[in-house]
Amino acid sequence: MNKKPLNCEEAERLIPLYVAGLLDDPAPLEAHLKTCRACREKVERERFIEDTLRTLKPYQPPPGLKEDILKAVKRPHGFSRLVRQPLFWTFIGTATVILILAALFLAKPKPKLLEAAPLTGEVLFPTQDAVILAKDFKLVFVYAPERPDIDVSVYLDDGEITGTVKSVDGLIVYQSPKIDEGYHKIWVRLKDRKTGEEKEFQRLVYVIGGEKK
Amino acid sequence: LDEVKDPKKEESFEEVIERYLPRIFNLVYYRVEDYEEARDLTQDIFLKAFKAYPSFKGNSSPYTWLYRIALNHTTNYLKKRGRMKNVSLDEIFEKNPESFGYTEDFKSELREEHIREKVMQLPHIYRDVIVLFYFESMSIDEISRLLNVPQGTVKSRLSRGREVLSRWLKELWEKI
Repeated sequence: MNKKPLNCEEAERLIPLYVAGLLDDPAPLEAHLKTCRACREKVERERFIEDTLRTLKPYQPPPGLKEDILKAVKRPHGFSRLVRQPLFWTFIGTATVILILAALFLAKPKPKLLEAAPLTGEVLFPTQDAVILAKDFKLVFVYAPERPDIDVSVYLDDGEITGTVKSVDGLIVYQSPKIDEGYHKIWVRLKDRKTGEEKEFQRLVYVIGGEKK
Repeated sequence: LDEVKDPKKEESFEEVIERYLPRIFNLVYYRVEDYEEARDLTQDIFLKAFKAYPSFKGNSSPYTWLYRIALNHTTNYLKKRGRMKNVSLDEIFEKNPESFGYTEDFKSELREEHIREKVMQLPHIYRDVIVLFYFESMSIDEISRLLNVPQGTVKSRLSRGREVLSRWLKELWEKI
């Protein structure tokens, strides 16, 4: 049975399969090609493309990819994907910054005990020879805060005081519950526990309005 | 990795990586069109394959098995990225591909690169069969089984893909 001859449009569609060797029945196309120069040129063009496609060099994988895959399969599952997540690196970045700050904080040199520093202190209140009301009688003394290795004792007249002593970071505040009217000596003694060195700071004040002797 | 070597299988997983990595990478790159993404996806694919390797029965070649994983994985990825779309042939032909930048010292390497670029611009349904048929030298039957489509469909896609390429490459042809 004679088949209807192909026209150029039909032939054009078959040419790629023809040059690829995939046309089941090439006879009608070959018949058309015998009579059509334009389609023969198309075949030539298709052969060129066909040859180029068949000989194209493949894209090469990036160097190191094989090693990365081998490493990844040896790691716990999911880790490799995890490390490629932006959030993972955000987390790692934040954690690193926190760790560095923590390390810096911990490594920050502590205030060194200045063993060679002299015992220092100052009576802030009262001033020497002050006249003060009994109700206002108190002692405010500041001493070297960097010397926690010293003992601080507060005395009133000839004995250690029994009132309230508050000590915060080198600041001593003493308040007496009751005090007699008259002259009083209040003094502070600092003692270096290591060297045994002592230093005293005194104030003589006149108290009025206290209990009469 | 030696632990995953199954006596029923001819290759250890390391040998599978060694043998198929370049081909899988090539396939993935043609699908996703981005070198870095292709790198990451290829690594994912081999990790997936590594996990699945113990259950790989060896009924098909590791090559077909890996290709299926690669195709599924990249398809899912492209769908998520919204880069998987169907384009009609008319739309493709309406495209006006840029000039090939022909110069007097036009080299075959340059020509190859242009053809690669044009393959990359093909819609996925055509690109996949072109890549598998020409670059991976798969038969129509193998492609049909791999893509789970009839052989006639593979041929039709191959023919259409080639038709599109021919039109795009016409300019190149005229200049050589």
